[in-house]
Amino acid sequence: MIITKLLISVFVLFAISRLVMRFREGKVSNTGLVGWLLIWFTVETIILVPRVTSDIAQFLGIGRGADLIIYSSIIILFYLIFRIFISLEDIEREVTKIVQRDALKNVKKGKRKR
Amino acid sequence: MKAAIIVPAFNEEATIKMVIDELKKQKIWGLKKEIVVINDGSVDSTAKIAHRENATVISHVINRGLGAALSTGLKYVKKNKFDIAITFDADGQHKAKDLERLIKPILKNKADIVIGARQFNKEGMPIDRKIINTFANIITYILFNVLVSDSQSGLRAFSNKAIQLIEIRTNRMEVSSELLRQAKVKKLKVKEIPISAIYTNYSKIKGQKNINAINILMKMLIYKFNKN
Repeated sequence: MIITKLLISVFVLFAISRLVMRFREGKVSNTGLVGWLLIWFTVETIILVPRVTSDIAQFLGIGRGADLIIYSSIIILFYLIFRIFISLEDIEREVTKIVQRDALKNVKKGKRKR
Repeated sequence: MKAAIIVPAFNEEATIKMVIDELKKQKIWGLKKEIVVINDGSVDSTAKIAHRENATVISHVINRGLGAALSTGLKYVKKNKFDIAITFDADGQHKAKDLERLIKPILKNKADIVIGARQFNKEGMPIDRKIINTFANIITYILFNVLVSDSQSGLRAFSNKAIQLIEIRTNRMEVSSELLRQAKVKKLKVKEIPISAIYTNYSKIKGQKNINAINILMKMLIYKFNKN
């Protein structure tokens, strides 16, 4: 158990160091930095003090800490799917723009005027 | 005045000749007309037949869906300064003789968009289509606050003002509702006139699949809450 905690903590530290590096390079926005830091600190807290999840779960009336994690995972996954859906739509629209530009360059007019 | 008849077509080699022929024969209040077939990535000879039939053919290299095809058509119409644009399905479900009645409100300056509403009688529309259409109309009303009797009709006419203002962003079948939403946002006058629709087995297979309704609903929700 201790070894798992240690390994995950090292990984979290690694992730945070990469995040800070990317932030310094200007590749992560301020909001991005805060958001990701929050996520990683939450992970680290849960790893070090697993009781926290039970306490929050109790507070929210869910019962078990494990349930809380599953519920929040589902919500996060749904949100991510929604984001992917939106970005796919954006890509589709970009593809259409390219196809349209090409199509309008190559209009084949009918031979006779009506 | 000149009118463009936009015919979005995806693999319609069986009917495209008949549709173009019918449109060519039809007089529209003496307006100069151009038939513009938007070949939406067909893999059959739709484009070839349309070209042979003397229509203007604009081809998408890959299939992008009804919304994209209509958008391409409207861009062409805008660029070439047409006064009126008409959209007409390529599967043969519309009758060219309805066109004069369709654009009359525009010529009289009484509407910017006219929708040819298919009639909800026994012969007009199969029962499953009727249910889904009613559902689509209700959803369109709830989401976009526009009440029409046939929000999914493919026969429409646009005034010059509508041509200039409308920008289609949806790619696929949900374009029918998107057009109504845009009409609302851009304060365009929408009018419906009853038309006859011919539901053949062919047009049923080629038209919207019933299951597609769920997909359209999902996208309409996203547009409602995500974009203005």
